[in-house]
Amino acid sequence: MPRILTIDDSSTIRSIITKQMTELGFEVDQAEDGKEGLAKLEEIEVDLILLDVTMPVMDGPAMLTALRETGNRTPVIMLTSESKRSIVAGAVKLGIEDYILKPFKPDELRGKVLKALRLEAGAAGPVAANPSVASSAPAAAAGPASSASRQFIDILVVDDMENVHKKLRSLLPAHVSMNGCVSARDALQHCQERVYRVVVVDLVIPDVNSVALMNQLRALQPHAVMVALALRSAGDAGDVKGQGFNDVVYKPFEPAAVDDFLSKHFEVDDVLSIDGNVLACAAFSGKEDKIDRYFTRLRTLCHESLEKLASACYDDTVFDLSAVPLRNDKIVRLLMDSDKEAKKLGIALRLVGTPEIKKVLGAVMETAAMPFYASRAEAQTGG
Amino acid sequence: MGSADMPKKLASELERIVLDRIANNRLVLPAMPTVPQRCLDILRDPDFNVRKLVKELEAEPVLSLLVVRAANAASYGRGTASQALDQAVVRIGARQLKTLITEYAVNELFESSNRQLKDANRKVWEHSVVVALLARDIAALIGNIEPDGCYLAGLLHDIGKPVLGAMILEVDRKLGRATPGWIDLPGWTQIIETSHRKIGVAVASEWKLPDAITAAIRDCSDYDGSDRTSIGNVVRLANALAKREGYTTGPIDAADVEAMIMVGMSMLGGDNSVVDRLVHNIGSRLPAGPGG
Repeated sequence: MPRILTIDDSSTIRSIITKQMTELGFEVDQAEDGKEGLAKLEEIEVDLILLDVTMPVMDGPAMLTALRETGNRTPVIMLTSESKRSIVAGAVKLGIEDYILKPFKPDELRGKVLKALRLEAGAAGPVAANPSVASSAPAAAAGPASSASRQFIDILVVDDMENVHKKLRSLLPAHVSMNGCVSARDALQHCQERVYRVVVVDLVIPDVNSVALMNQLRALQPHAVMVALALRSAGDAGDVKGQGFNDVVYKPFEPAAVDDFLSKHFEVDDVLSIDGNVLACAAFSGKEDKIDRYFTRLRTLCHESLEKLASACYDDTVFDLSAVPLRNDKIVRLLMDSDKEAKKLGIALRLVGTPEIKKVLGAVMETAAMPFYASRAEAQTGG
Repeated sequence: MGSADMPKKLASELERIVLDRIANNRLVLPAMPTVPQRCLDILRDPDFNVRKLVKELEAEPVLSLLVVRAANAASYGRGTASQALDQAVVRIGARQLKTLITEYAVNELFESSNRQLKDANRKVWEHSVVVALLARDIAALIGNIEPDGCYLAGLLHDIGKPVLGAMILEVDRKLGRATPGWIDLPGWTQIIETSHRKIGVAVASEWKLPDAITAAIRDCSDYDGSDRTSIGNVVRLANALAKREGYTTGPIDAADVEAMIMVGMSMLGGDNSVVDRLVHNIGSRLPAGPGG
């Protein structure tokens, strides 16, 4: 159990800290000035010191200097009402882990203590920029989210009209997860706590500069695609890409447009997966009129994946076509393109698929000679 | 006087003259350019006359263009882009107009025909814009603080530097020494760092900038504990973050910068991980410089 020493001349502060830290399961010792703190540290070993600055007998900086002179490197958080840069800079030079200004909020104390004790990777500082936001968010109230445990959500929609969220949600497949926010503050809070793949920002939110908000959200979600949400009746949304958005969608939503949006941003990883030297095509599940897009995407991803395999020094790959829909001309074109690219990169292709696919490929001179197997295991062993 | 001593003595002499002028109230401050000044005067009236404002703006084509461009940037989804200045004025509103016009006037102060001064001003300008952008972001994250005010205060917090630079150049010219290499960097930095705040406050007062912005210029050294979420405190934190990212105008003390960040984060209730991500790649958000 981590042990904490609080050094403060105010018994009220020591009691508050003791209560909060005990609730977190830590053992807490107290001292009312620097001298008493040093004496305690001769008797016990602690994992963290919470140190006030202004105290009688021996103040915080003097105590910290004496402590470091003995070679004691125990992490210290300054917890004080002193905000003078010269004093804090002096403490930084002596090696303090963090700083908390009195009066402080419980979240800030908890977050900084946990961070100093390295108990929550990636948890830096208080849970939220604005405590009033944090208190209304159940996820935040549970404690700072570590980067590893941040929830992954597909889409965040920022629009002041809740009905917009509902409408889009109704048009999305069940497996696509979505959050909705009605204000900039909510959106910033969500982006602090979760990881999003696509962030959709309405271009007209009262009292909000949508471009500035998008830039802030992008800072929090550097890997997310930023999509502008514009009103269809207002006509062309103009140069949204020039403003930093990656794409634009229009409301009211039309099912076909939402399909396009999904295929642009959510088929990327589904059409072709890569595992070691195995490339596996996913089944096609959309409407028939989207089949061309499926094969185009497959060809593009196949090229990219072969380049990845070449850079990883593979000289052969298993290309599993079992789930590919039977479209003769499209399968042949896919294989001709892929074979050409593989040869250019010095990679041998071994195909896996159904007898029907084998028959299709066998009927075309360019693909007939390609090695074909009934299973991945056979293809891997060359048997 | 040995040649090695020359810059140091020259710097000292120049500094004495400038400080003497400040002390004796003999400063000749740059006036706000006429058109922006008139526009801001009009905008001080809550029921300002749009036609009157448009007439003033039309006298400054670049400023008019900036207003129309800002209005069109804010109009996505609301309607088609407009080229009409009166519509643009109505669309973006008084608050944003004030920011835009002041920003335009400020940029002029960073202009200089002297190469060395231009280089030095460029650094100050970059630092100021980074502070302005971060101040606006921090204000938005924290809430309850006016982001546009923080942006302007950030942009203006070091405004005394280019103004003082121009003054030093002028004094030096009068002394008949305006030659290439007229002052070395340490000499320049010393004079600027000593006196720029006084000049900045004088400019803010001359330009009738809001009190909160003047206060942010007056003192960047320590946080104001009596008003935790003041514009000045936001600018102080943004200033320290900008310095940590390398957007500085002179040498820095790393412990001092770190202390300012720690205190600022606790005072304003910021989240380290979020602010770190805001700071990341801030350079890519820098617009083209004055005249650029």
